[in-house]
Amino acid sequence: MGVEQGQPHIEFRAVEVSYRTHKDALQSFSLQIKKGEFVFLVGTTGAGKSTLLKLLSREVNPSKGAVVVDGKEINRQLALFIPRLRRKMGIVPQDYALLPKKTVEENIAYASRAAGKTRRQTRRRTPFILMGVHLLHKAKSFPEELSGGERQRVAIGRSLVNDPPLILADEPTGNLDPEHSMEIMQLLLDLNDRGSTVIVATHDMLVVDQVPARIIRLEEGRIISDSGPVERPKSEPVETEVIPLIAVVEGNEDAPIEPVEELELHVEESGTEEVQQKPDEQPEAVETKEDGEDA
Amino acid sequence: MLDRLLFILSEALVSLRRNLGMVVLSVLTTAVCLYVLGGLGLLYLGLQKGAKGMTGSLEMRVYLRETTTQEQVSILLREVRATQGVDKAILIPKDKAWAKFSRENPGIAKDIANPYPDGLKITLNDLSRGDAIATQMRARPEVEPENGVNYLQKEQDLLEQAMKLLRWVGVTAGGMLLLVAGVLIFTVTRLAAMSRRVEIRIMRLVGAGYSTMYLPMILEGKVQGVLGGLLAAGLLQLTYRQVTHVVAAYESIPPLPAFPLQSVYIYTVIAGAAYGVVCSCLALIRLHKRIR
Repeated sequence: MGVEQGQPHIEFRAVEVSYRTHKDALQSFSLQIKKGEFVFLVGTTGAGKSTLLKLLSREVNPSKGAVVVDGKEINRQLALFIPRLRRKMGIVPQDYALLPKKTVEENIAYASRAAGKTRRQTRRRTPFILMGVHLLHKAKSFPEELSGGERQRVAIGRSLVNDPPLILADEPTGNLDPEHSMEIMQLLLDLNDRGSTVIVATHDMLVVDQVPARIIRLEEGRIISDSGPVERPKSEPVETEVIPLIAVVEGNEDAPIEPVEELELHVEESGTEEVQQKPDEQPEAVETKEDGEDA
Repeated sequence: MLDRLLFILSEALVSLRRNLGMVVLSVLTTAVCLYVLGGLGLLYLGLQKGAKGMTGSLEMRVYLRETTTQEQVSILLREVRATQGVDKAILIPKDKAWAKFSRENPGIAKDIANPYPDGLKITLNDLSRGDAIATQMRARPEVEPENGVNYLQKEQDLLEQAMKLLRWVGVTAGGMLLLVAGVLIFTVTRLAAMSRRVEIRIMRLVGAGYSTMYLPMILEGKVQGVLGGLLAAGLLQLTYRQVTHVVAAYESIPPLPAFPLQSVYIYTVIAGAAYGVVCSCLALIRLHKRIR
């Protein structure tokens, strides 16, 4: 984990949030998170974990205080700029939010197209995203054919369509058994290793205890403990601008690790990205369907 | 740009396909509404045109007192000609009137003294001014106090009432239908948003622009309006053709003018499209407040 020093990436300054049904969801809440940190927000239901994530994605606005991301007070930004803000973060919901009548690759491609990527860009990037979340072999499967862990990996893959520097995961292991939970955590750790700041809201203490990360405990909208930034030995660095390619083989410890170094990134002068691979590892281009596969 | 447009169009198509039943219902309601409004509009315009045509032959007779001098008649004529709604006014001396009557009814006129007074023949160019001019004439001292003014009061009243009724029917029935069509388009848009809630959620998660999220549904409303408009215009054309056939069978009724094909199609389609967009936008404004 490469936590950068200097200015915080994210800062909550004396933030207060009140819902109609829940007064004082957050009370004078202050917190700083640096670039590259892996943070767990833990606490019981109603402690304020999800509210913190919603503040970052501007689904909720504070009644007092400021939420600062990269030096900008996002709570003051016009609603018009919310989509632009969200393109800088990958949001992973607990319930996966997958389109049941689209295949795995179509789910990723749809999100990519919706996020503004062209058909060509989408066709190029989708296989790499799938490879990154170890679902290339399930590209043609429908969500109902996947396990909970695999569905969550699709959701994580989808959150990567914008190459976001910040990943927000709200109870990503809430519906998973311990084995699949660790699999998802490993994926998030790998993303963190590639430089993304990862914030995970969870009450799954089994997972939290096994992952070396900063743990912030919340109760009734206040921080009750903060372990502070944790330095974690980093995995092998991979220089790629396409997406983080994760060298973990899901569910099979003995399987050979994908040699990610063999994927060479070639950036054309025009800025178009092309990835050259060994022929036997070439992921198939994804045909993005637009003619309306019903959800 | 083209790429984005294709994506938005494909999303609109998905929306339309997903709520096909409701879309068909809303298209039909919009079509019926525009058909009724368009039909009433055409009828109203036709009556207005007919009324204007009638005024050319609509004459008012004003009978003068025996005591009226030549000078008074000249002044009266000048003033009447200057009155708004009067096309022309001419003096018909009693001798000329009697001579004409005698020619047309030789048996009756024989051995009878001329009962006609001097009179004015006033031709109107504005039907709606008929009442006012008649009242004005009756108040003149030169005009016979009893039955001094004679014109097609009943016909004019009938026409006026028909046009009032049309206006009333147009406003109430058309308005109600318009409301129903609007509610349907609004509901279809809301249903589309409901059935696309996962897509909309995904779009929100990945930071899709508002245009990407909402344009497909606005387009859907527009398509419904345009289809409704086209259907209404087609129905109007068919109805007009049938009415023309019926009218042609009666020699006493003048033939109807040609169907204003271009303007009917253009106006109904524009009205439908605009209405569809307005209703879907209203639905989306409410939705946007909730899901932003």
